[in-house]
Amino acid sequence: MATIRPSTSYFTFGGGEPAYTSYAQRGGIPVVEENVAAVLELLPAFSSLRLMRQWAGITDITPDTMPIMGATPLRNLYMSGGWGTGGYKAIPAGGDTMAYTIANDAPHPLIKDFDLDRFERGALIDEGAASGVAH
Amino acid sequence: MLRIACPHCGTRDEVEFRCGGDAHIERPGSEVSDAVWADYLFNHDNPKGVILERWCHVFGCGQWFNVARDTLTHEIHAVYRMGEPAPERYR
Amino acid sequence: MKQAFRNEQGGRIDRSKPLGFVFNGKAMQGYSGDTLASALLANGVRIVSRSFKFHRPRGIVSAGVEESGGILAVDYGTGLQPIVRSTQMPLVDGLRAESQNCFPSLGFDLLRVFDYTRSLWPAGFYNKIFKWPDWHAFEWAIRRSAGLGRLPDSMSHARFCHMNAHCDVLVVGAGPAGLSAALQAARAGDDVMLVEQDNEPGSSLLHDLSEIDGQPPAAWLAGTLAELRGADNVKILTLATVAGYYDCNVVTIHDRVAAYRRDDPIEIFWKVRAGRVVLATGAIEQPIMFGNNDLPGIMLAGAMRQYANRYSVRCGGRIVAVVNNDLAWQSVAALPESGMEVAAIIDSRDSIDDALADQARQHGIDVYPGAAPIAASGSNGVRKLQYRDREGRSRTIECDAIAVSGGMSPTVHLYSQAGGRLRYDEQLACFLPRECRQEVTVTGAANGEFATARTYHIGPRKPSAAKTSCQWVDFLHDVTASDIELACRENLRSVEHVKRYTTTGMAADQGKTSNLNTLTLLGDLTGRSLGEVGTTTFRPMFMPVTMGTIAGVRRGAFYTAAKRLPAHDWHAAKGAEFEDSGGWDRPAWYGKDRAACIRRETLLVRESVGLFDASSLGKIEVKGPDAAEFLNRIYVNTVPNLKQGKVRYGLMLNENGIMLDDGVFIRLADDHFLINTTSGNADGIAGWLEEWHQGEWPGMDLVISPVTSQWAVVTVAGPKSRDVLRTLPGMIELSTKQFPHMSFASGVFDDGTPYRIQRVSFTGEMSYELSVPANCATAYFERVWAAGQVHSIGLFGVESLMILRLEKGFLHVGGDTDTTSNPFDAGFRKIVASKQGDFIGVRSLQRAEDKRGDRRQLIGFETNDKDATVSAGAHIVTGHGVTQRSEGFVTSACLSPTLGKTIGLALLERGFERQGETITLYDEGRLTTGRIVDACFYDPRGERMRG
Repeated sequence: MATIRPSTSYFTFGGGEPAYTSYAQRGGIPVVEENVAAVLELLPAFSSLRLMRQWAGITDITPDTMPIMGATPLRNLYMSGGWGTGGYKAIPAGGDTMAYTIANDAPHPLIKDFDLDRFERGALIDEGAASGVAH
Repeated sequence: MLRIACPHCGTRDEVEFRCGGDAHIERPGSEVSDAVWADYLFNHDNPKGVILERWCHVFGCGQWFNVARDTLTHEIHAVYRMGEPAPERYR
Repeated sequence: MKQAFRNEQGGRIDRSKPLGFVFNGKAMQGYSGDTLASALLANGVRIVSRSFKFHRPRGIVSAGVEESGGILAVDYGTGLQPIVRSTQMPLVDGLRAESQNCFPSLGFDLLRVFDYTRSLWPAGFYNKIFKWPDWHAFEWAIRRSAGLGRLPDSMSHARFCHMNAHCDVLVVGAGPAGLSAALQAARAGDDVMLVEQDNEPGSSLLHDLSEIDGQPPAAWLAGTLAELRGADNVKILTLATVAGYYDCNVVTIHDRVAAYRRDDPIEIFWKVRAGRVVLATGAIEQPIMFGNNDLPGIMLAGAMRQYANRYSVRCGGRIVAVVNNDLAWQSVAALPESGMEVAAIIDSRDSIDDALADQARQHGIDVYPGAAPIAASGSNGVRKLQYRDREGRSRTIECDAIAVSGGMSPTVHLYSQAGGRLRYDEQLACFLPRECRQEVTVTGAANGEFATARTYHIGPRKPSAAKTSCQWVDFLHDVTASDIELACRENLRSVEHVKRYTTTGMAADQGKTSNLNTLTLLGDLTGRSLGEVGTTTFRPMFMPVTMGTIAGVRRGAFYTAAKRLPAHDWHAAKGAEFEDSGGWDRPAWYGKDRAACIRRETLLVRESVGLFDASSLGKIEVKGPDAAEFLNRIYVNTVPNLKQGKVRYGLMLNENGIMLDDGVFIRLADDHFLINTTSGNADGIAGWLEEWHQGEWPGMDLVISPVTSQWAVVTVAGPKSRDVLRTLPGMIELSTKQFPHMSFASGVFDDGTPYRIQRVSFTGEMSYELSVPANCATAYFERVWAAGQVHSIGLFGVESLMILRLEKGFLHVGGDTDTTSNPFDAGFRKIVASKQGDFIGVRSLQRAEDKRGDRRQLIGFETNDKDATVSAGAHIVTGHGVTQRSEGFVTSACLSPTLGKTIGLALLERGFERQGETITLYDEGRLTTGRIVDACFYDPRGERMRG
C-alpha cells in the first residue's frame, strides 16, 4: 500500500497493481482486499469505516521502475514518462531538469542517467528506496 | 477478478495464477547485438487489445500455459499449452 | 414512549415485539420489523442530522439505499459506527443512534453560520478564498468543521469472514421481477442464488398493494417464496447487498444477516462466481429541484407510501405532492388511506391521465396540472410551499410534508460496473441498459419496466424559478444548482470534471438521488441532451462496505501469516525472540537483552560451539538425466564436473545479469542434485527453475521438487562442532580427512532417523548442517543440545549469524546487492571467466556497461573510530557543500564483537581499486571517517572453516 490521503468526509488510499497488463481502469477485488487489509493493519479502528468507491488508473512502469527523461531518436522530441508511482514526489525536479534539457538540447547532469538508451546499454537504475517503491 | 481456465485443472480464480508476461518470445543466442538483446529483455508490445501471454497455475498444478487475453475488456479468448502455436487470428 | 405517528393497525411490523432504542440520548420505542428510519419517523423525529458543509437540518428522505438525510452514527453492540443509513438499519433492541455533524447539538448548530453566509462558500471555495495570507492559517478551522461523524476509537467487535460460492444464476433483487427470474431459473434446474438487501424478500410487494398476476401481492409473494424455499437448488440471502460486479461474472456481496446479533455478530463478504447474472435491482425515485428542496419533511413520494403501507407510519399530517410522472400519483393516492391529508398534487405536466386525476379527486386531493414548485419554506421543517400555477400566478399552500417525485431512475450501477453501456431513453427520461459483454440480463424496473398495469408517463424535469443558490442537488455534500452553474461558467463541461469540482455525487450516498439532476442541469446549461452529457462512471461499491468485511480474516496475525519452524516451540521454551525473516518466524536471539545476547552468541560460535535452526533454508531437488546440464545453465558456476557427495557455492543471475540468489548445490548422485537457496527465496527459485524448464528448455529430462519443509536443519557451528556431532550414534566419520569442508553425506541414526549432513559454513567457523525429517526437528535439537552440554553449547539466532557472516565478508544477495549489481561488482570475475557455455544472464555480462571499472563495487570498510556506529544505508560522500555527492552506500555494518571494531560492506564506485583509501560516511546527518579494507575481515585464509 502506498498512500493514505485524508480529505473532507472521506480519505483516499491506494497502491499495488494487478499482476498483469490492463487498460481496464477498473481494479479487481484481490488488489482491493490487499489494500484494505494493509490499512486495517495500520489503523485497526478503521474496520467499521466503509469503503465507498474503488477505481484504478493506468501507471506507466518501466523495467527498472524509474522514469525515462531526455531526448528521443526523433529530433526535437523529448520524453518524460514512465513515472509510474513516483511522479508526484519527483516531478518538480523532473520538470526543472527537463526544461534545462530542452532549452540546451543536452541532458541536465542530474537526469543524464535516465535516458531512453539505458535499457540497451544495460545501465538500469535502482532508486527503489528513494521513490518509495515497496521492496 | 479474472477466471482462468487452466488446461490441466479447469477454471480457477486469478489469485491462483501468476502472469509471466509475453508468450512466444524467443531467447536469442549470445552472438546477438546489444540492441537485439535489449529487445528481448525490455522492448515488448503493449497492446490495448488482445495480448498473448504466459500464465502459470502456481497454486494448482504448477504448469505454464499460454493465454490470449484482451487487456481492455479482460476477456480471455483462448488458452493453449506451452509449445503450441497461437490461434491463427491472434498471431 | 408514544409513537405519535404510528397508526393503530396495518403494516408489516410486529406490534407484539416492541424494541427500545435511544436517539441522541432520548429513549424511544419501535417494533420488530422497523428500520431505524421508520422508528424515528414513528416517533415524530423530523430532523435527524445536519448537512456536511452548511450544517442545514436534514430529515429522512427515502426508505432505501438512496438515503441522503438519515445517515447516523449507530451502535448496535459492536461500537459506534459512523455513516450508517437509518433506512437500511433494521431496528434492534438497545440500539443507540446519534446525529452526525452537529455542534454543539442537533437542534442548535453554531456552524450553521456557514449556511447564513452561504454565498461566500461556493464550489471549490477552499482553493479560492483561503489563499491569503496562507491556506495553513485556515486549515485547522476547516478541518475541524469538515468531516462527517467521528472515527471509532477501536477495532469493531464484529467478526468478519469471507464466503465463496459458485452458482448458475445469480439474481440480484427479490422484488417481483427478481422473484420471477429466480423461479424460472429454479424450475429449469439451475443452481440459483437470490440476493436481497432488505431484511425480507418482496421489495415493492411489501408496500405496493396493487395486484400481481391477479393475486394480492402478499399471496403472490407467499406462494412464490414457498416454492423457492422448497427447492434445494435455490439459496436466498437477505440483508445482503451486492457491492461490486467484476470481470468474469464475479460478484461481491456484503451479507449483514448475522451482523446485528447481540452475541457474536458476523459480517460476511461473499465472492460469487456466477454463470449468469440477472439484475432485478429496481429503480430509484428522483427528487425535484425547487427552492429549499432539502427541508426536513420533503420526502420521496414512493418512500412515503412505503412508510405508510409497510411500517404504518405517517410522514406528515398535511401533505403536498410535487411530481412529474404517473407512478407518483399512485404513491400519493395511497397516503389518505393511512390517515394523511393530501392537500394537492402539483404536476409539471399539462395533461394528466383522467383516471389518475379522478382517483385523486375522490380522495379529496386538489389537482394542479401544469404547475411548478418555486420554493418551500420553514426553518427546521417545511411549513409552506410556494408554487406557480398553470396561469403563471404565484400561490402558496400550507403543508408539513412534501412528497416529491422526479421520476424513476433504473438502478443500473451494477450493470455499468460489469462493463455494460447505457443509453438515454427520452420517453422514460432515464438511462437504460444497452449492451454488455458479460453474461448478464436486466429485468423489471432496472430495465425501464416501471409499470405493469398501465403505461408510464413522465414529463421533463424543468428548471425551477427559485434562486439557484437555494436549490439543492446533492443533499449530503450541500451542492446547489448555482454550484453547477459556476462550474459551467468556469468552462467545466465534462460531467466527470463537474462532479469532481462541485463534489456532487461523491458523498456517502454516492449520488443515487443527485446524479440525474446534475446531468439534467448540466445538459440545460450546455445545450446538450442527457444522452450527450452521459453519466459519470459507476464504480464499486454500490453500497459502502465496512472495511473489516473486505479484509475478512486478513487482520492481526493473519495479515501476513508467518511460517513457523518445525521446532518453533522448542526455541520459544529456550527464550527465543522471534523476528520475521524471509517470511519465517525465526529466532533472532535468545534471552532478554538484545545487544548482550547477540554479542554472547557471536563469541560463543567463535570460541566453542553454537546451535542454529536453519530449517527455513531453501531446499530443492533436481533429478533426471539432464539435471547437471540444466543447473549449469541456471548457475554462473560450473556444475557438471562436481563430484558426487561434494558441495559447491552457486550464484544465480537473472537474464539481465543481476545477482538473484546464492547458496550451495550438492551432487547427490550422477543425475540428482540438491540445491540450497536463501530462506526468503525458496518458493521464488523453485518457480524460477520451473519457468525455465517448462518455458525455455522443455526437452530437458528432469523433475524439480521443492523439499524445504520436508527437512529440518540443525546447524552446529564453532570449533567444537565436530566434537558435539560425532557423539551421536550413527553419525558418519566427520574428520576433515574423511569429510572435509564442502562435503555431503547421508546416514541413519541409531533410532532409525535418516539424516543428511553437509559441511558448509556461513559463519567462517567449522560448521555442519544436519538435516533430519521435519517431524524429528524438536527431538534432534534436543539431542544435539544434550550432546553439546559438555562443551557449553548455546543457541544463536539470525542476528548473530548476520554478524558472523559479515565478519567473514560473506555476501547477502539482495542485502549487499541491489537490482543493478552484477557478479563482477561482487568480485566474482573469475567464476564468470571460467564458465563454459550458456547460462542465464551470460549475454548481459558482455555489455560494455557491465564490464565498466567505475561501477559500484562491493568493498569492506572499517571506521577510524573503533566504536563509531554506522547504519546500513549510510552514504559514502565526496566533496563539500553543493558539490557533495554520494559515491555509494553502506549495505551492512556492525560493531564486530570478535574484532572489537566497526566494520561493514558497501557498494562504492570504483571500490576495488580504492583499497586503503580513506572514506567519509554520511549517516543520518553525522559524518564519520573510515577506510577501505579487504571485505573478508576475519580469518581471510579460511583456516578455521576448513580446519
